[in-house]
Amino acid sequence: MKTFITCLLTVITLSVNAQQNMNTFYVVDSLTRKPLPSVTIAIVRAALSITTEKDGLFSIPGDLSTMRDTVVIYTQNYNSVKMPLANLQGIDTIKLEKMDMIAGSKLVFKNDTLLNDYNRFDVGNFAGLHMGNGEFKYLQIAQRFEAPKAVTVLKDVTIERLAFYLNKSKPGVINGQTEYSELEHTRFKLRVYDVNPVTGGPGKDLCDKVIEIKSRDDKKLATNLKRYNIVIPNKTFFIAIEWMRDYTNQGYVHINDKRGGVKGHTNYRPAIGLIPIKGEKLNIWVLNLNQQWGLYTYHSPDFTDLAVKATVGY
Amino acid sequence: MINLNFKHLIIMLAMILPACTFGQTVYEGQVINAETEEGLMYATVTLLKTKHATSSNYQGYFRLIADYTMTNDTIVVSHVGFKTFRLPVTGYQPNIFIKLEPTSSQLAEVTVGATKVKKAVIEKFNHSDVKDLRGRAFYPTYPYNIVGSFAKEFEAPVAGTLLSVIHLGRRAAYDIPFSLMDFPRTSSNKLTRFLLHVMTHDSLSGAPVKRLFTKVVTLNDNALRITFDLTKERIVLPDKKFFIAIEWLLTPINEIVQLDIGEKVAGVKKDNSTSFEEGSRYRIIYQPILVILPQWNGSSWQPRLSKVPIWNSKDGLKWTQVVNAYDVALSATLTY
Repeated sequence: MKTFITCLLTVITLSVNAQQNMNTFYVVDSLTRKPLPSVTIAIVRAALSITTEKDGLFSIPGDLSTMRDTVVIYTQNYNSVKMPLANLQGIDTIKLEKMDMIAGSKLVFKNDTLLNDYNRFDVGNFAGLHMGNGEFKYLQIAQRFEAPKAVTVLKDVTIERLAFYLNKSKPGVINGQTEYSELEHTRFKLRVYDVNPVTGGPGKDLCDKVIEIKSRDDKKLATNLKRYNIVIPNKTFFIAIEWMRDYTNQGYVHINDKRGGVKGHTNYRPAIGLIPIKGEKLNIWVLNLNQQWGLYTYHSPDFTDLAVKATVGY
Repeated sequence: MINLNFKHLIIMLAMILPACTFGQTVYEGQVINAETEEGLMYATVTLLKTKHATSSNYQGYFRLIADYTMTNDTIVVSHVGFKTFRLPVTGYQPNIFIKLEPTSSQLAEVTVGATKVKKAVIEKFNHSDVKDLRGRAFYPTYPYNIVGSFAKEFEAPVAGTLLSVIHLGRRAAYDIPFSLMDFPRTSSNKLTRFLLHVMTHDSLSGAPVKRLFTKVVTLNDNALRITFDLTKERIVLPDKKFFIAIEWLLTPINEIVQLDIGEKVAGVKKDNSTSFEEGSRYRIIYQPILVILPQWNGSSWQPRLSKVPIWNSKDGLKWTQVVNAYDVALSATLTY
């Protein structure tokens, strides 16, 4: 995988024209000049996005000066960069400035509360696969939580994901039966946000460290967050899944349309479970390619909450 | 008095542990009246040793989730007026039908009124026809990838009958983890919503025409045999021939994800050539999955062809008769 250059073209179309210009860029930290891994590059109007590998390298094919679109480049703990795509012409390095984060002081909490509990055997519907006949074009999905009081600490998070058994290492039929012994792999980032007092949606990042979750053997993803010391200042907060739109997570979805045809498009793992109990309020938010949070309505009104539960200490 | 020390406790634990399975286990199925074949509501289902318990819903469906299981435990199903049923957990099969025999103390039904009411079940099917067929090569479903409406023709003994009950066979979707060849790997979703129509019969074309009754049905369990009691709806069938139709809804609640293995772009090399690798391909299909009735041809299970006309429609308006249609588990109980 390291020999490949992360290229937006691979998710746009398979028809690569060998004669096209390939514009290659590095995304680096503005101070250290070191490459930044897992940076998301989103092209807004074309509704395309991809996550870079460890080398912070990405490519856009074609003549940039003729492209009339907007590019958004962002990663956790850095100020995002938004500019016309044509402005990338003539540059090869994109510098991201690190945000100033205030580290939370170590607090001691005696009581625990489990929020948004569910039974995993009831989870049968999933967000992150598609939107009707169209592609799922969001970068993050967040569940809203209401803690019993202000100033709590986030201790752990459990997420239910969609995953099937595969066996890529031993394809074929063994003893007359196909062996499926391995779950689909996935990796993603976990984000924790304060409430935005204006929109009621996710606001400021509450964790200054990158929490990357990898899974290859479970649908239930339980993560202990005590070592991150994430202090939740208000009662309302959000836990989000940030998809890493890379090759590991890439798959395809086929949907039958009303006329009997089949539509296919790309999707990225993991799809996140939904709790099959309708709550009073829709608590699911999504971040679009333009870096704007909005309510997630595709599964509404039957589903109001993600199968994401969290324990807070207070 | 026996004096137990730490060593004794360790030995006792070592004896108990092998009989214990940790991790959640799900036992689900339908409790039915062996005499009437109808679902039994409020039956108590208990795991004898671990004391996990639940009760059946209006379809007789139960779902017992046990945090841990003893391998020598027993499922006990009881209901007032019925003989208690016991089943070792080792004998449990997914989505099992449990028939309870009425006790002799049950009162005989009393007929009130001077006129004798006749009852006819058209296109009757049994629990054995719709029971879970995992492990068999034959796994009939309908319509699977079709979206639209499906209608089955029925013929009453006389015109002017009352449609009192509809029975429908439904296949639950499962996630199959290990070693089942030729079996769809699907996500498990017990929620489904669809439209149930009762329609008139056009004597010229033979097609469904007018809707006499429509009901939005939402199911929240994995019951395989669904009973719709329509007695209160007073649906009078004007002609002998009529249709019962199912209309699928393309809403997220009905989505099931089915896994297929596909090829995906692995990347573009520096020389601009594209490489491929194995990847997951999901297919979105919509519930409900109906049951096609099976027949044993002497060597294997095969789908049974329908003796009555079956019609399909994409928009619910224009109907097409299906040639060599399979027989769907759908029955009507009429009173007259």
